[in-house]
Amino acid sequence: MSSRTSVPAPHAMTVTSRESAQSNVVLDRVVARVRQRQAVEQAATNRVGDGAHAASLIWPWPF
Amino acid sequence: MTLLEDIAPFRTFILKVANRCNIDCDYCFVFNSKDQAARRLPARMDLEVARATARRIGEHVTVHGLPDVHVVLHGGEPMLTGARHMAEMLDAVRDGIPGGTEIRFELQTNATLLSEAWLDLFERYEVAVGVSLDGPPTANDRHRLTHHGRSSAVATVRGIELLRSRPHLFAGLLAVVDLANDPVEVHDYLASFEPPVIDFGLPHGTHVDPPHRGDPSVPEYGLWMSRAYDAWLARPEYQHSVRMLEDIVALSSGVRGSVETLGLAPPTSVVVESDGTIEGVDTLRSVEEGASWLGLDVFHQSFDEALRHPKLMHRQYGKAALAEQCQSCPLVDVCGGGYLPHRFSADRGYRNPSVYCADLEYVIRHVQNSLRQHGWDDIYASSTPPP
Repeated sequence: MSSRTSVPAPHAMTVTSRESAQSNVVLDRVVARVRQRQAVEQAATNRVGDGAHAASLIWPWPF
Repeated sequence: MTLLEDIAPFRTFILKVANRCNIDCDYCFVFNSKDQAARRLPARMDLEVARATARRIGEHVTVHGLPDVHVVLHGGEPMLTGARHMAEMLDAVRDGIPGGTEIRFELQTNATLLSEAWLDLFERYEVAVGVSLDGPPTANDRHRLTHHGRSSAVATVRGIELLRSRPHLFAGLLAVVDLANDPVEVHDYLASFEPPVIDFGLPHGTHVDPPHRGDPSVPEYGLWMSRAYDAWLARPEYQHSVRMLEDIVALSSGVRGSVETLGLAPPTSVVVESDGTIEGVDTLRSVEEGASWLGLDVFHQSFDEALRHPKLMHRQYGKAALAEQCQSCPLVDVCGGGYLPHRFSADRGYRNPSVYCADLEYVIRHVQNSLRQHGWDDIYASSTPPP
């Protein structure tokens, strides 16, 4: 089910591919986490990921 | 009119369990800001307020069918409540929320009062602990001093080391940026504690009271964050995320942000003060007296009433609530117009670009360029303005 509030989807492009370029271990990890976030977001049956408070650090939803 | 069913329910409940602090950070939006309400509020949340809050959370969970909620124990310094009172408040929250709902407890602290006994309590209630620390002692002590003007760094580091003995409870480190501190030194120092997450907050400022800059023509905060980003990428031996920077990657690829400071998705957090009053964004205290005040409290109103409060409805409008130049900016989906308090001016309210607009643009482009450089150029291309 899609979210009940319209949230802009700014970019049709997703983190799905990479061409040969200078690799960076940290950035590769980040991209993997973002892919995970995307999967959680797409699988969710209710709203997830809508900005937690700035002074809190854990994921506000199961991740 | 926006119908209630079209509004995202609250998922994060910030409980101001203590309204005093044992240190006196000069940038604190609670105690050293425009709004001095905290000084008039009860020193700690009493059990009646905690129970009423829990009942309201439970009601919200039931109405919206929420499978989980996030409850953040905040202050002031939350450990000033005392361990026994904290345990009673945690019990009250658990008891008020329907069984089967996952409750994710978190506490944000300066860690100076942390002890094995506190950690045992956090273990028992599964409370994740985040610590505020701005960097090495010289960096931290620019702002985070005791009420007697002494360093708080040693006591905080002692607390963090204790917390590291239970790494599953360690939520991460929060640091406020000061241009006088070296970003690489700050990043590497914080990383050395092996937190799962580091986040950098920009000091609160508005168009009325702008943040300090050495040279207003240079995006100094953007440069600072970009150097922190480079430092992060240069240290693969550490596993942590830097939240703001990871969110720029996420938002650049169309994935929602995880924090209210970036992106256009409506924030879903709400604050309950120590006397039970409900606030939307407590950091608005940095804007002007009464800016965060809604006139609601957990004894008389539900969280659904807070959702519909005119002062919070702007959250639902996304891009339409922003200044015109923001609406047409190619980066707006990433920065979201910047954090709400940072947009304020006396004549136009919040319909302004952030006081950090140029900084956000600089760091977003820096991250996107880095993505391109490392082969993730589809993201970079999506946010590049047309020639």
